[in-house]
Amino acid sequence: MMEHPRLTLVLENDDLLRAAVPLCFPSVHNIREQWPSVIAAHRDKPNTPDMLRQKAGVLAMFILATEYDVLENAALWYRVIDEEAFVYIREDRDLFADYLQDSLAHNLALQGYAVDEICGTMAERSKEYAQYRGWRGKEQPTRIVLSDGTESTMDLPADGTLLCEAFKHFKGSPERLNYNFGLQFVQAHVYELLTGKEMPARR
Amino acid sequence: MNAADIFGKLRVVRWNGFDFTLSLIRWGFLRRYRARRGKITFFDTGALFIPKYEIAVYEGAAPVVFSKAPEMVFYYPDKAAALLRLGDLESAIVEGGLDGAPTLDFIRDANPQRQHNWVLRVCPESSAASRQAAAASNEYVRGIFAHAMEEAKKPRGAYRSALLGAETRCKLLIVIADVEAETGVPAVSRCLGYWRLDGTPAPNPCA
Repeated sequence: MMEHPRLTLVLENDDLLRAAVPLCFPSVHNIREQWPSVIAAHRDKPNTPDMLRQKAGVLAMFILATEYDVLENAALWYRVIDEEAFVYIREDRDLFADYLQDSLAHNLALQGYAVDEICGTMAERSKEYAQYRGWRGKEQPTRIVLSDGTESTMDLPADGTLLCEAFKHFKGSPERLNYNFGLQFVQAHVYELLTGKEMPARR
Repeated sequence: MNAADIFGKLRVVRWNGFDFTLSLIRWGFLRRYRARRGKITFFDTGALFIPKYEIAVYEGAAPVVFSKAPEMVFYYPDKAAALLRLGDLESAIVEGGLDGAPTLDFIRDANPQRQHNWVLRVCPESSAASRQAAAASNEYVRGIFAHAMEEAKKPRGAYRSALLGAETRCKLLIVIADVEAETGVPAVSRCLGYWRLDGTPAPNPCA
């Protein structure tokens, strides 16, 4: 994302609006490219309330740096991160999840989603997704047709699992969503961000 | 929301050869955000009402609102109360300046359900009683302020957060539209290299 120098000048003394520009017009490429340095910046820092709020803010930015079904993606991520926070930072999980919800709602509105749409979707999905225990279950080899017309087989989440059910709310094909979500999740380094520690080799 | 709501009203009054600027603004996200950064004074919670409008009093002519800290700040729950008190405050300052009896009465007689005072000014020439009153008022307000700062760190909830985001977007788009009207080119682009460093448009590589 690039802004006109005149806009930069106009917003020079306005911290709030200046900070809102990259949130209103997020650059997927830039955010993902800079993400490893964001993770590194939070390493070895204790999870104070301020730090949790900061982490939730950057994670929301990362989550929304996607080009497909942004709102549904946010609702899915919220459920997934809530579970990750429960596992890795149990004592701070509630506060972190609240901050994350705030940041997601705030940034979605900055991107132009209607307030009622954001709150309605987040509330409905939170209720629905709470019932799914497993994310993927035992993956099922599924035959898919690629864009060039050839057939292939891909492992997709099993029926009744979070990802399988969540993808029904998305517009794209399940295999593309599965790939996109999986890739974004791997790139997120959620464990490192939440705990401030490096991922153990085996856990 | 009209332009007056966003940008507020400015009144300049004169007393004894000195100019004072009264600035009435909608107490929205911008002020709250800046307050969290410690840049300006702030009541958010702990007050007896939710502040929606603010009158700030500055010493000097109108441009001081961008460069100086205010001498006094008053908060109101609605526009009607703020407009009514703006007239009262204007008359009080014209009559006796910032340390005069009418202004002190304006502060003292305020209904706490309708007006919150933040008096930053402690004039050395003012009477001991008025200094004491101002100090006590400030101490009380500092307590509220500290409480508000703590409260501001708590999660706001999805609805309030989304409202805040929507309001910010609205204001940003107004600024962007102004810049685009002025320059005749898009103010924001996803494509790198769209502008030269001097601000003149370069060929769009995405076109």
